Amino acid sequence: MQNEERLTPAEREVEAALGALRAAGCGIDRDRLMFQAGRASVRRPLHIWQGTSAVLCLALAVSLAVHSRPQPAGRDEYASADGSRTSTAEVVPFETPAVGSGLPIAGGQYLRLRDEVLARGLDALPRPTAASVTAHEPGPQIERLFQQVPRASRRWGLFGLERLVSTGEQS
Amino acid sequence: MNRNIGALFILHSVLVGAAAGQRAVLTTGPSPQEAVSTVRLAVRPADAPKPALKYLLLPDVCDQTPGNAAQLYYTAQQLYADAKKDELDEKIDSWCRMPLNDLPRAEVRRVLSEYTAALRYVRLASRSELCHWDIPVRTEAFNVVLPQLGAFRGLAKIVAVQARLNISEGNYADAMDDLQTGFAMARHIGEAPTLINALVGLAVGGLMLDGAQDLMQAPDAPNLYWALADLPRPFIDMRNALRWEKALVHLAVPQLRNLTRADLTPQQWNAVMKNVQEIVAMGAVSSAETGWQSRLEMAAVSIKLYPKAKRYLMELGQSKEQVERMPVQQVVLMYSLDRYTYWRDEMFKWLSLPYWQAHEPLKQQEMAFAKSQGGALADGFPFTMLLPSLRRAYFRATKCDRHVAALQCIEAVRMHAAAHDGRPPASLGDIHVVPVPNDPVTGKAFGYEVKGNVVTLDAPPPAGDSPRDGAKYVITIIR
Amino acid sequence: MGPIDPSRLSRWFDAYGAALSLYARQWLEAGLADDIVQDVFIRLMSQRAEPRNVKAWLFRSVRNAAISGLRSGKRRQRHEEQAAARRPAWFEARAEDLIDAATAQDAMMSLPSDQREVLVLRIWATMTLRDIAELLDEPVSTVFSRYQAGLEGIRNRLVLSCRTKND
Repeated sequence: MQNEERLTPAEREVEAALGALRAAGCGIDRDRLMFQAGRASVRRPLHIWQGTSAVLCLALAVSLAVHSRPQPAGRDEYASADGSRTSTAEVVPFETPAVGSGLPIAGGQYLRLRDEVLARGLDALPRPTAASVTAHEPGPQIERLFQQVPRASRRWGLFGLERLVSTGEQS
Repeated sequence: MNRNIGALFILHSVLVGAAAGQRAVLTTGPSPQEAVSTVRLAVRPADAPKPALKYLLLPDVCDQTPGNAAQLYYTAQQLYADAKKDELDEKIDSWCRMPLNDLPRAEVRRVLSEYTAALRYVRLASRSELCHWDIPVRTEAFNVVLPQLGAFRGLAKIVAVQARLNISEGNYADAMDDLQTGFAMARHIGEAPTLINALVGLAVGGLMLDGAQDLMQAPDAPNLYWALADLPRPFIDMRNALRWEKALVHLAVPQLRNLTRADLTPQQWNAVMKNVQEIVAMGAVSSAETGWQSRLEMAAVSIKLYPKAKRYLMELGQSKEQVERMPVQQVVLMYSLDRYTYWRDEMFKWLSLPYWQAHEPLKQQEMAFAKSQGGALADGFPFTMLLPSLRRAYFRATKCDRHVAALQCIEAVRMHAAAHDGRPPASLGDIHVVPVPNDPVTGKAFGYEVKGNVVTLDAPPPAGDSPRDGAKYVITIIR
Repeated sequence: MGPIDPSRLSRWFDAYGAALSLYARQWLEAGLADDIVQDVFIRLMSQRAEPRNVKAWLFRSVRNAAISGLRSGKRRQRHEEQAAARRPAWFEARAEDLIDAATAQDAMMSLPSDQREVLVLRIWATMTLRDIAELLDEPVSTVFSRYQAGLEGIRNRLVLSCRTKND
């Protein structure tokens, strides 16, 4: 374009540098959006005259948009009998498990790993390096054990380790 | 003439003796040109040991110790990690596969000495009476964190290599001890309530069966028929892991258990739907298919499902008013879950039957299921995306049992040969010294062919499946 | 053209969601900006037919809704608030970026709103100057002047930032 040709080299540099930045993802709940937008399109009353259907759709969409406004976690608004709205942060009517918030399985997530191991066998398992195995201390009892046992002693044979663990003395 | 015959006999004996002196297997493993996996063994006739259960492939009760093996396995993992050198991985892999004769014993011994502590602790663990991994599948469901299963693979390999080293040096008692360690570890891993654990347990068991195979071929090696017969069948019960798989969806989203009675607000239904979507997103497999895309696909399909879901519930007996009072998400979830339950049970039910009975109907059912998943309105979507490949999982477990049965067959042949001047039987039906197991994949006898002193045991793949799922054992009876 | 196929929504969201959100943040704080964008997508699906230029429709709708929201008294993202560590990021922070994301955001926030708007539409919404002019109902020359001035403003801000760090 003719206009772009009039940018100075310095301006082009800034333009390129800015252009390399990627806009951060928006905070929109994508699944909720898809569902409600889709519902808005599905529930359009098809049999209403064309002249009024657009108005009704807009009203429905706005209504859905208003009522689907995301609630802060743990807070639900309830309309009481007298029409007033109370909001409570205490009541959790039901709990859903914190899906997606657990620690990842070494090398991947359960479902994916399961299907890969079924298809490819043990080669699908992440191959631990010496560092990665030590990074995942397995359980509280083992953690306590290793707090007691100096790292160097783990190279010892059985009896050295046993003696250290039981008496605290090095063999 | 007698002298010539005598000379020929001596020459023959010398040659046979030279072959016997080689503590080596003839080539094992598939020839590249063969689609079916072919295992070649050279064995000598051998009678059952006395006493009959002198050799066992699992630790005897008297050798077990009280306590929970899991803690000791974690210690063994830690010790393994301390000793592990990544650059040796490939070498250790090759030591698991190469002909025993070619094993560089000095180097193997030196490397294994670095793992002395790890080997000691895995042995201790394998002798424990119990193994409770305490994997919290009930609360964590699809988010469960599993123990470092990759490290178990490494531990199993060094156990297998140690067994091979002992076999190659004629230390059969130590080799049996190693195999007991490995088989017990396989069972312990496989008992945990996840399908991945079962598969890892099977793989470890497979490594140990290869070790048993090596031992069977060693000079003066004991006959392992009764040791193999003593192994539990199924070696790893896949049904245990699959029962948990069946329950995972309900464990992950407990609200799904009472959809009809649930009295949730639309926002709460949204939260349930979101949980389901997140689980499904976790299952996105291909690099082209991201979690986001699978969620979007799910949402779009849910929108299309609503009219069908309404009709379905009304056909089941709900009134129009009842259904239309329900939030859209509830209607869609009820319909999808109902369809998922139908397909799930239609496939899972076959696991109650032996594989050879279940294979064909399960295959047909999987084809019908796959057909139902095509197009935009996948039946039972999104829950059906969470189902594992049941037939594949069941086959893996049965394949391990087939390996045990095949080796048991071979030992039966060795026993027969020992009682018949080193001659193999003309057919498996001619073996009367011990019962001969059937192939658990087909439910029938193994295919059997003998030409001179070479026996071929044939384990065909399940009907209609890849030749690679079959196995062939070519056994040379060394007299 | 008939009703809009819901599956197309995912493609539009992929293509324009982040840029629309960034655009709306020129007027509103992040949460409100995202609400506006969400409402606009829902309204899009309620249309009887697909707009001729969906992208232009989306950005125009977001602009109108955001300005309307601003006029109705909703809080605007103030520059002072951006100094707080917890402000929502406009850009992803990546090691390979030529400009530090936070510095770029600071620089953008320091621009007059009309220049900033053109920069966002040109660079992240990848609109042509002609499309931007049509959206803003301004001559192309005016749009270009704002664009040039915005780039110069960013450059000056970055130079100042470098000097401050080196002092």
